[in-house]
Amino acid sequence: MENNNDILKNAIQNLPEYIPEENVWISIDNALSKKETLTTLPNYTPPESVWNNIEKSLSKSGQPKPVLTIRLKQIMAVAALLLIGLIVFNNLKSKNSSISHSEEWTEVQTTGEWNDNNELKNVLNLICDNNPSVCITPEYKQAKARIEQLEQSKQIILKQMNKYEPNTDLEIMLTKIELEQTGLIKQIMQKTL
Amino acid sequence: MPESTNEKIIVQGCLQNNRQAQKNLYDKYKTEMYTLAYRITNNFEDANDALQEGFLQVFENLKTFKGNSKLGTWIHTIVARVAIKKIKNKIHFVEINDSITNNIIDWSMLTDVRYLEEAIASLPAGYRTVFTLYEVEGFKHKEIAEMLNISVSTSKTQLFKAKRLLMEHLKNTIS
Amino acid sequence: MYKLKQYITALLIMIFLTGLQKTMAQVKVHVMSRKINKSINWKPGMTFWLTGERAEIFCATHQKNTIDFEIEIISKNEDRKTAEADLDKMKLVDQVSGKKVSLRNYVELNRGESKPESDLKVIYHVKVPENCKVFISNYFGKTRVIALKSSLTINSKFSPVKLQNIAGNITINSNFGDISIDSIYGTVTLQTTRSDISIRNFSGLLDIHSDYATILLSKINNLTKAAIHADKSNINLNTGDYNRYSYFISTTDSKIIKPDKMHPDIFKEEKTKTQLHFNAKTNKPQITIELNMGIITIEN
Repeated sequence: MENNNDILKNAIQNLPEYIPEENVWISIDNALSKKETLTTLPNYTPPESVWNNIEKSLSKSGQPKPVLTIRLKQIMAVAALLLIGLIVFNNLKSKNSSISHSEEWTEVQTTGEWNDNNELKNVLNLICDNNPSVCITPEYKQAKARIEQLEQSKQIILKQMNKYEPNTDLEIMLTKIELEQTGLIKQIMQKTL
Repeated sequence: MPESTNEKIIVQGCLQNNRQAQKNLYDKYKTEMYTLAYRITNNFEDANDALQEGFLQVFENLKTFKGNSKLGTWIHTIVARVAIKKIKNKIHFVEINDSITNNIIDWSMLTDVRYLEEAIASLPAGYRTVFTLYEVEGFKHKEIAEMLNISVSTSKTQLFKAKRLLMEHLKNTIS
Repeated sequence: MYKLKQYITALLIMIFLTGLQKTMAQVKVHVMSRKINKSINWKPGMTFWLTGERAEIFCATHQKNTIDFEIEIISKNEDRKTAEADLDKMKLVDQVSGKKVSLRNYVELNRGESKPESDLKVIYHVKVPENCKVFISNYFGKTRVIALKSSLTINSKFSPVKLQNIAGNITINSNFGDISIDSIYGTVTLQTTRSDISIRNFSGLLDIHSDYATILLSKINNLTKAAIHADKSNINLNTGDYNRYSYFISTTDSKIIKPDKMHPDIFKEEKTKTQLHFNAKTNKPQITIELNMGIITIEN
């Protein structure tokens, strides 16, 4: 038996949502493009002479050639066509490309100085503990959702940071995110005071 | 423009392999589906894979969608199945009979919703899947049973067990 | 004198140690790179689509009827073998399909292969005919386009965009990528989130929808019309002479800073809403602004 099921239903309504990384769409896009490109490979119609030769061989032997042999020839023809198609379609790698190697001295970039996700969660939990009535207000929920969205963007950016090159642009983005998150926390705190 | 008309236009575009239309459909449902995939698989890497595979299946099979259900529901089912497949080997169900023990589950102790997400994530794969599909995503026991290849009664009892475990976890965490 | 010598010696030792520390903090990195050059014939009506990931894109124009690419894929790692292996994971595809020329890069992993550990990037130097329509998507990179005389569409995420000397229709969707536009003639439509916008030397029509932005417009002497819809943004207009334009501004929870000499036809302030009309009944080029939570500054 279950009592107070409405509390569970309400809690489920307030569960967080997660936004996928852009990489997921890029992978889908690539897979779709590959599929589409393979369907645009050209088809080739064999000349009539091919069938004539097959027919001649069939008549000579007096028995139809084993289906297996004909099938094998068809499979080989398709494989050859696919191979030609793949060579035509892809592989910028093999055209005009050369690999070069060099060495450089560089500083290893660190990302540790960016705020830990848990710090923000702890601050939000603390606000709720001290003033529970604030946590059910739409403004708090909106602010919290925005903070979480920003945190997701921040995690995406952190994963993309370079180890051996400066990350100036990304650091600017991270700074903006943290400023916005701090602004939102300040807003929430002002409402509780 | 009414949403259903807008969605029809997007679907038409998808059927013509228009990438922008496909992206629009993806963008419309990505958060919901990703969240579903994450809750079932319990990790973001698998959720990424499930979302990708799920949507590729959606685009491939869109021509077979006959409009018997809402498009969102149809996509939901596809992504759920793909996510379940990802964790198939982690899901273990024991078929038990209908007699459930007389434990009462009382949610009045769920005073803090913050802990619910953590508690769901702590459930074993099978319980978590059934709970998520039934309580969070709104699938029926018959649909869940078909997805997980179990009986309807197993689905019901596993749900009850999941809720009991959830409550135990919440009690320990909140206290 | 002796003390001075001591002081200088101590200073030199400190400088040396600091330099030494910095040198010791540096590591030797293997840089593997692959260069690809290609040229594709172009006919009027053909469009160019570039989809980049971790790409630095430089797109300019030339007088030839070809689309020329010079692409460099770079992989950096302390371990040479890893750098080389990761270089191979970055794929490049080019395709001509009817009137569409497309070029893209992406990371491809075979089954069981791990994600690249090296710093990977792709640098594109692309030259297109002046009248070629260009479509660019970039994710975690940089995009720079100059001297185009046709339409340009950019979808950008986490990638700053710089445009210069372009005449045509420009559409930019940007998320977390600052936009800098200089010397543009045409119609510009910007849809941005968390991307600062800087526009100078602009002639034509401007339509901006933005959230969380700092928008700077300066030297916009030949502006035909501007419409700005912004949320949680700050807008700074430096038109050179505010009297050349008519303004229709409405804001919520915002502040308007204007020159003292600027006397609006209508200036209403009600609780959280403010309305300002200036030169309303003239045929002067219109600047329409709707702002929620921000500051508008009209300079001279």
